[in-house]
Amino acid sequence: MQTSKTVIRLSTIIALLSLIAAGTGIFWQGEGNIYEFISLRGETVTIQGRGLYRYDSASYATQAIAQDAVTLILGIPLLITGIILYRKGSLRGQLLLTGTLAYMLYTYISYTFLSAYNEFFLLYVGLFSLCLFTFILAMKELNPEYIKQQISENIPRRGVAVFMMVIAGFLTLAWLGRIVPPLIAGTPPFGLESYTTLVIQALDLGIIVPVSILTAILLWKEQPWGYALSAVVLIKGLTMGAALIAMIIGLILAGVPVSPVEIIMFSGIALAALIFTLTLFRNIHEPIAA
Amino acid sequence: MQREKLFILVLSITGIGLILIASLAGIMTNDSGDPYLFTSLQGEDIEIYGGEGIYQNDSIYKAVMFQGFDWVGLLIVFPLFLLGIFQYVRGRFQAQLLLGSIFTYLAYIYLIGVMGNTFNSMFLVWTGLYSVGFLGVITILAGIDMSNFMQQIKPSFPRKSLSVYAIALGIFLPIMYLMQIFTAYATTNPPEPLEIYTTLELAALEIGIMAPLHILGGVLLWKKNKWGYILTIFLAFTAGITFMALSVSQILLSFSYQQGGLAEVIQMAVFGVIASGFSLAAFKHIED
Repeated sequence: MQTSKTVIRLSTIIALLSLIAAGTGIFWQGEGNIYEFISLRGETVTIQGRGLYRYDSASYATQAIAQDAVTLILGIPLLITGIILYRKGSLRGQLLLTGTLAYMLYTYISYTFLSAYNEFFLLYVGLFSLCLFTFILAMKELNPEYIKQQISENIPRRGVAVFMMVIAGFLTLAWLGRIVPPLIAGTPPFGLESYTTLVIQALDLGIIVPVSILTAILLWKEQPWGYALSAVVLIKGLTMGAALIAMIIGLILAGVPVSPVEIIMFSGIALAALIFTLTLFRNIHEPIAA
Repeated sequence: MQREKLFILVLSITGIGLILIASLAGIMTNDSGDPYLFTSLQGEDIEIYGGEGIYQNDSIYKAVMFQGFDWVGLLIVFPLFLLGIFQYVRGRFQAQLLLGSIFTYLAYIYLIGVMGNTFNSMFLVWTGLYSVGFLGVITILAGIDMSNFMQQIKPSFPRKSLSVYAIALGIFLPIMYLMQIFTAYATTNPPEPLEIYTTLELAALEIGIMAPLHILGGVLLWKKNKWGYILTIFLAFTAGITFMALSVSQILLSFSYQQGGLAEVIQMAVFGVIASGFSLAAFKHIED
């Protein structure tokens, strides 16, 4: 398998820059105190008041710090592992790298558009742009026919396809449930707080849901792209699931009420993603180097 | 009918329906606003558009900017979309590129709308539009017959001038936004375009996606790479329509709200004419 030096170099830069972004988010708490702000829609919002996320709501800041921790503990090590294995020509490494780039891309798109403007705005934009173009290059390097050949028939293909549909269905129902009732009632949606709009919901409904459905259909029909995309989506799902669990723990520790249904659903999704990812990766045959 | 062609048609029909809803909603609900002042999180006093329309919670600048996109969406993008669909059904190559250009425009403008305008009743429609644009561009790109591509480009295609234009715009865009951001860093004030918004979504998209794409497209076109032709055709169309919409917005801002003057209107109109000129020239030099 041929490797792309550009993908390796760009991924290394992403690892370094995300180390700075995530590290600063966690360790620089600065001075200042939380305060209340009346939003444009008349809602009282608690603002973090200190650190990198000082203009963000206390709830978002808690989640962002939790996600920074997951990026630092899981995202960056997985990215580095992916780079090392990919350099050796490993297919597992290539899929791990591409999947982790998908996680990084999603993370820094959301930081770019959702974090209240701060000193790191340009760093987030740089990371988002780098992740986007590196991810496109990494996807271009994938050889779906080869990936399909190398994946054993023992993988729970239909199970993974159903899981993708479950993710798409869950996200659609969860986010429409949050958006539609306030639209009808003419009230601000839950979670809008001091923010312009619902960035995560726009990303999930606009990109993640259609990509998950497409992956599920392609995999169900045993199309080569179904195998390639499912590996990428599973790793993204696993890392994002871990981030969501960390965010929920952060919110509980901060005394913010969290719906038990969300706790069960997100934990279930993360666990299922972990099991399916491990099963898939165990069933990838690596050709023995000559 | 090929599955891919059917998928493009489904996306196009969905897109044309959604753009009609989005444009009409913006135009029909506009009651000229009822401006009032609001102090932002960063302590700036910002004039909000007000009223009952879909842009009631946006700043005057952003509300009027998107009204420009609504008018251009209805009067220019909608008919071009119809034309593109009819020609695509007939199997014309130009229509494939036209639909690709329209999908690029939808992905770009409605990503700006959904990320940058305050949450409103068009949130799901705009999400649908950018998603249709994103899926449409990928499907069109995957479906272009690259082996025959160069045979459909006339030798008189304005390759060098389009290439220089794309690179120049790719350099100009980030400089414009970086100046605003560095000024804010230097003065420790929030950047002027931040107004009441969470962040500078337009700057993020221009610096993070559009500028690199313009430079990449321009360089590849200069090197006679096929992807350079496709990228610059899509981007020139998007820029042309965007600058046209911004010209309309600037006229509305100048006359109705005394924000900006003739110089800004002329500036946007000149950009619009240049980008649209390149877009038209590119399409004229493609053979079916």
